[in-house]
Amino acid sequence: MRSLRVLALLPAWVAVALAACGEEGTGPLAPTAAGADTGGFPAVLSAYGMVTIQDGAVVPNVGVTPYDLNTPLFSDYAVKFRTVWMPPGTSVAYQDTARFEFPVGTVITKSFGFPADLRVAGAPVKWVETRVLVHATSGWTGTSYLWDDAQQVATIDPGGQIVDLSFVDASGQAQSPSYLVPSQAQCQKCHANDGDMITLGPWAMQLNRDYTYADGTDNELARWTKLGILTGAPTPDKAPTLPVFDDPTTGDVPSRARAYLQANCSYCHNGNGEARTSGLVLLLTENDPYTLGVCKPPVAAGKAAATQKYDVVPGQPDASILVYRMTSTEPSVAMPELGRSLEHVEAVDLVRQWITGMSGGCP
Amino acid sequence: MRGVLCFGASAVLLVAACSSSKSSASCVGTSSPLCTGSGRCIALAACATESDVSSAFATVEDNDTIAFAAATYEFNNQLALGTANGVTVIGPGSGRTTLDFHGQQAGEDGVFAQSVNNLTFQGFTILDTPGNGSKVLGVTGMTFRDISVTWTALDATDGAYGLYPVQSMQVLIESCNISGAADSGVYVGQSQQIVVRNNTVFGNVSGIEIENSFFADVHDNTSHDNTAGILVFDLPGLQQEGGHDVRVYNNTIQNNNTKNFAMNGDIVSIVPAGTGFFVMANHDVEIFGNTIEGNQTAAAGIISYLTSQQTFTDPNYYEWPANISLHDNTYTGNGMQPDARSQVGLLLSTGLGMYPGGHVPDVMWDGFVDPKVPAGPDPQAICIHEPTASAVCDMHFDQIDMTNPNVSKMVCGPTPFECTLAPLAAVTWPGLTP
Repeated sequence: MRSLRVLALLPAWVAVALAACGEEGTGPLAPTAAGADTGGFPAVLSAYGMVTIQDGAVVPNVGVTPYDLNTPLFSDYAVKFRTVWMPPGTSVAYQDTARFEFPVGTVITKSFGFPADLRVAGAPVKWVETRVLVHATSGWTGTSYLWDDAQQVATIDPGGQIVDLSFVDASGQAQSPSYLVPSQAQCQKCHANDGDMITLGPWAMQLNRDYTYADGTDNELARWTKLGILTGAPTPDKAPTLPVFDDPTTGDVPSRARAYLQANCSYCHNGNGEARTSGLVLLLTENDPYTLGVCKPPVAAGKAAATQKYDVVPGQPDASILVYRMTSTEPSVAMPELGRSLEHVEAVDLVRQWITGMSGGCP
Repeated sequence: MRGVLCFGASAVLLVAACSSSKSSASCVGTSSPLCTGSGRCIALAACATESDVSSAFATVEDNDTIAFAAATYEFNNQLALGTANGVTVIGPGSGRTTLDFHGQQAGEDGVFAQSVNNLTFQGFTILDTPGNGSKVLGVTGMTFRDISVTWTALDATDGAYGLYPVQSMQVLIESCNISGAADSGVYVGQSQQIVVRNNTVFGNVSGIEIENSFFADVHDNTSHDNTAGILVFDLPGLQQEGGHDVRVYNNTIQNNNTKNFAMNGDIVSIVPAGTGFFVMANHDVEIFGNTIEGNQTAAAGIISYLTSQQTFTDPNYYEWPANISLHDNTYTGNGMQPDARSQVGLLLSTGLGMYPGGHVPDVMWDGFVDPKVPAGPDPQAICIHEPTASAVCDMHFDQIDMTNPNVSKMVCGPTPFECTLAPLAAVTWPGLTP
């Protein structure tokens, strides 16, 4: 019954079906926001014509632009491959500090994979899923596609699931994350802003960095401008840059810690995100110490409050709930709430240094 | 011609994709006697897998009903609902359908929903969530009916809240049964227009909490054997502050003497075992017709945030109780043995030799007065008419010598509590059955 419903889904889907056939004969399928305005997601990722996997690498289709971020979201040490495509003739207007308002029809993908051994450069990657954000007329929608073992077909998984994985981390330790492929509804837990889905990664500060493209290295903002998909951007030296959390040459400890919290926490911990009810705001732009957690008692944190009284106690990382929740892997305690079943050791270390360096104390 | 051929090829691809997914189509039907709404019926048979259930939740459409069978469904991920309006999630009854989260590995809540209108959860049990049983955020028109939330081990490993609607409007919680929450069985936060009625809550740290909320009627509930029965309070630093217009009436608040098992950093951890109810930093609260019995520390308290000994910097926060009316409640056998494990309990113990009737006064005000309010006989308008209370006292916590804390400054009424406040209006909204 359900597949019949999908088949009945209107002209856009037929167009996708037709295009999909073209792939077999005359060359790669052109990228498309497949079915975005018909309320349905196609059953397989290939319908979008965004990426394929070839020899263990995610490969963007012609016209699809890969990009990276200065300080990304941590996802159990997954490697990530991000792409964006905008309909021909459209572009996004540069914003200095605000979110980019991508045109209707934009498709963004993010593929998540795990190398068997993080110590080995170029080790084979097992790609687990590719998440898709599609900008429909009514707003962004998203879902995830799970790659098969042969790494050939990625099939929609609207309900999500936990995938048990294993790899060897950078220190040689075996790690076994309970990796979360989010359900469509869970996508919204991070991407919802006052009820509407938004993009989180691609904004000026995150994109102002170099990327090694097939034809050479370029600044991402500059490349997007050359490609005609970004308008109004200043030269990179005039654009803001988010520090790279694990690169000390990009900023001091506080600025890198704040960059990490911005990328990993602030999508919920802002005035419109899911954690708006907590009163804790972890945006880069937040300057009020109390709102940032300094000597702020937790609200509705339950057992995550453990024995600590405040979110952040200056000079005392062990007394700070922020550190406790970033360290824990218990589902009711761990922060971020979704997508982290392992401790991000390097980030916790950075945040501990940041708190240790704060002066003052709490009552 | 090419188009037709291609469509056929694509259809084959689709069928293949569906059959290779983990769902078990025969366990997801389209009819159930529980489906009475105008939208689709998604009937989840007993054999439905977690993937079937989570997919049904994630792809829900306006006015759908998702109907469970009388069965236990196990989850290792949080169960999140997609954003559709008018959705009903229903089982044949709490205790008959169980959503078992003991293996949950992701998510702070068991069943989660946000940003929708007119959502009903009815007739199922939520078991052993590591965190909250069910949290809903930003829902207008939320009904929890005949939902049971419980934990197998009633201790600090339990989740914080059983039912947790927050920043929601028109919230109805009725005929639910919540036990074991390590913070509160029912926790309504930062919400407006709330009715909590005919529920039974026991074995939680607090039975029912109404926090930073406006327009709430809490009535005809039984809150027993928790650490504290019913709490109405307001906290700083939040988007909605200044809790007001709360009525608590015709409830049974009994034997709430369970040792406090909340985590130390949680504000509710300071509440002594044996607490009937208290009101903190709200205004316009009316509490009447309740039976408050056998709570060994104290029956009723009216306090400022100052008594919590927490600091705050929020300039918008109002830390005082004001316009509080207590009348016609029935007090029996409270305050006989204050909880010596808590600071407040120890403090109250210091007066056991001097209290009227030999036990902690049934109704206590902490005595902190807003310095900005003009002085007068009843500056905060705390109006108490309680013929069955052993005593009504200003405990003068504002004058306590912290080097030797005791209640020797206590002054018992009737003054200054003789004022009278007009009754508060009943909470209602279109479609709410009285």
